[in-house]
Amino acid sequence: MFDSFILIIELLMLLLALGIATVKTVRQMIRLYQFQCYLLAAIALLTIYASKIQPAWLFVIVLIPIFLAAFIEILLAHATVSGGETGSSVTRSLFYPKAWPQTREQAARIWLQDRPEVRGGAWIIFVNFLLIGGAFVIAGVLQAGAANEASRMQLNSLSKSGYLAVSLSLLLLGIAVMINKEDIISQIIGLLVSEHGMFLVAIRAITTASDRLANLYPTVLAFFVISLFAYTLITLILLIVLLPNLHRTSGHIEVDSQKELRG
Amino acid sequence: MSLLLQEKIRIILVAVVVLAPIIVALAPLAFGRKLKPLCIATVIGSFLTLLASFLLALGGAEKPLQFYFLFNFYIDDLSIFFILLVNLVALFASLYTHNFLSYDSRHNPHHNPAYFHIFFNFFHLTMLIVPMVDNLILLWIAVELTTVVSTLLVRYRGDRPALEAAWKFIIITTTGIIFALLGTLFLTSAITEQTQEILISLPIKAVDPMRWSILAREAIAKTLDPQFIRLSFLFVLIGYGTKAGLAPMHTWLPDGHGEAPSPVSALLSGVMLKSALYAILRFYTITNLSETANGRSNAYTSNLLLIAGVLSLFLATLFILKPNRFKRVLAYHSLEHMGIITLGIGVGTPIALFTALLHALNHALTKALMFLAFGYIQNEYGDRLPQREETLQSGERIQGVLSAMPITGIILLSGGLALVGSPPFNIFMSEFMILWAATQKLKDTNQIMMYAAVIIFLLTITIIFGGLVNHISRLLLDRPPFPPIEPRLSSLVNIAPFALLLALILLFGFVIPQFPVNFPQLLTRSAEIIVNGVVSP
Repeated sequence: MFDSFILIIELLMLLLALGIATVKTVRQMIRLYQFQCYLLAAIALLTIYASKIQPAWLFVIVLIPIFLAAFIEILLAHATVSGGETGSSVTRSLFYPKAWPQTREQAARIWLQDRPEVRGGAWIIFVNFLLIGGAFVIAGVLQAGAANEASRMQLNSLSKSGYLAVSLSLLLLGIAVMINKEDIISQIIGLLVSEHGMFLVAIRAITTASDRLANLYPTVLAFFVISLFAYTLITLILLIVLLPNLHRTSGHIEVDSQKELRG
Repeated sequence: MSLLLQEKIRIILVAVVVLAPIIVALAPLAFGRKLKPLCIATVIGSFLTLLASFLLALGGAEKPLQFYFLFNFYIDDLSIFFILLVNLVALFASLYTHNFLSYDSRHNPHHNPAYFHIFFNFFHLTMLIVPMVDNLILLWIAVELTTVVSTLLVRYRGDRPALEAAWKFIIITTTGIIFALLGTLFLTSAITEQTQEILISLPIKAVDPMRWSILAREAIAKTLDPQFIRLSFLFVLIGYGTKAGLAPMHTWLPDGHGEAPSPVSALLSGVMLKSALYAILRFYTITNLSETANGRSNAYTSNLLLIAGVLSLFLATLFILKPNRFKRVLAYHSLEHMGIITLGIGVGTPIALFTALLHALNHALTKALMFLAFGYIQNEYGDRLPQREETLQSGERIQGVLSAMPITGIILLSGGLALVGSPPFNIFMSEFMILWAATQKLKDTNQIMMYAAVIIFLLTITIIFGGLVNHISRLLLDRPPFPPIEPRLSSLVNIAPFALLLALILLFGFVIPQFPVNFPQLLTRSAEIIVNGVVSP
């Protein structure tokens, strides 16, 4: 029952990823991504709660998707509007919450003007479904391998297959978003969707590890958590340091404007 | 000397290797933005780490050094080899930082030596941490940290091409690295109840099942779930392969190497790619042990690596033949040589692994020489022809180097010849040995993949030779835009490190030196580790 419930939430995440891949405005993408973050946080919370060993600090990983959901819009908005500003004023506006509504409004106008073009139109939906199908096939093959050795591995194969298929799908859909959409904000969102796939596997690995391995050496769980935080750190560096400067020098959020280097 | 004392001395040496770059990175606290003291500090720090790593290698590693400080350190011969590699290139790159930053102070409005100095040393540090960690999740974190710090160095110039290159670099490698973490996570899924039972019985106080020194044992590897192990290796190869610049995930390589400051390009190409390769090697051992324990050959890992190697060689050839900026051409040579190294690992015999590691060292030395020498030439031309700054950055308008800077020109020419595998230089030796190892393997196995690899290898290195000669002749020949500036005492001081690098390149072309470090022994033991994993109980 519990596994089925988790699986439903995971499939909802997958639907949202499909939505992200097909919607046409940045704002819609951000909204769907934020919703996906909350679902991921719910999965993390439930999975950790249900696992047999629950070190209290393990719950800190729930904070990562919640943090990203809460701040992603302002970070992206800040990166978008900082096109003509100097470095210091950009930083000031980011760390001054009263300026956020204005930043959001300015960014929304730019996002409406520079709508991310989706390459390929209808066939991209077909490709997305193909990617999901491929992910489920790989997971299915693995499940078959696991079922043959079920007694040895003592795996809950249904749940394992579910998380694996959804994780791989999110990973591939994220990459598809990065390739298909023509603006750097969408590339970031695509990267973050892929990151959700990794996060999902990590949550399962952490909780499986806590069941099976915590009696050996629980610090391994801490390393997983650190690795997730390390990944979030990179995302933040992208958003806070690199993106505003890139936007400032090129004057655009479109990928086509970032093709000076070729060959 | 007692074993305990010997171990304590080795721990102190590791501490010097790690702490020197950290302390030196903090030098701006004392010197602010003063260029000279910062550069001297960087050189001293790099020299100290190299000296300590030489001493570490001299001590030999009959038994791997293992200790706990914040995390588990595991330093065997393979680690020592990579530590040496990092430190050798870092020392030469640091010797060149003063020349680069002096030029930068005259031409770059975003000039900030303290920023460059801090991140240069932290980059050095992160690459040293990679071969020292035992835990495979920490290995991922260490590799990822190299991305973060190097991105901040690639964007150093602050202009549009540098920012664009940094953007592409971090986006592509970060996407790739997701696969590497997934691969690492799949490895945890491969741990079975049987594995646990063995882990508990091990005579180790705290068993961390993600430690390489635990997983790379035959007894453990045979209990791991083979499906997940295979999936893990595939994902790790894609993930760390992206960072190692292997095709088809190499697209960040020309931008990153091309736009980074020259000392950073030398580190990126010479060492960072190898750090990712090191991570692949650690997983390669676990996967092969699991495969052989389950009654299979190494065909799975071998074929994947051969495909990656051949594809890299093939794509590198196409791009090297195109007219392009010289630093981008050098970047495509990195793709070529990473392909050759991967192909060598794919062959998989001890002699092939020995040679692949040797090739990694040879490529690191040669590429460091090329990037640093070309950076020096760019700066000298830039100072004399400031109005052509942009085109000089790309290297498009540099010509007549042999006449204007004859000594540096000859060094660049020699480095170029070394890079394409001409005798008597080092790369010729290791390429020839890889080819020999591959043909030996063909005698034993009749794999189509191996035949294809050997044929493509031979074809591409021949074509690439012509490609680079074309690029380098455009730089060296023709009439120079200003009167000769060499030989001069000041230029000789700048050229001395290049001459030393070239001497090393020549030396490795004739012999694999046994002094100051016994390289043949170090390489043999490293290859044994890759094949056998941890042999001791």
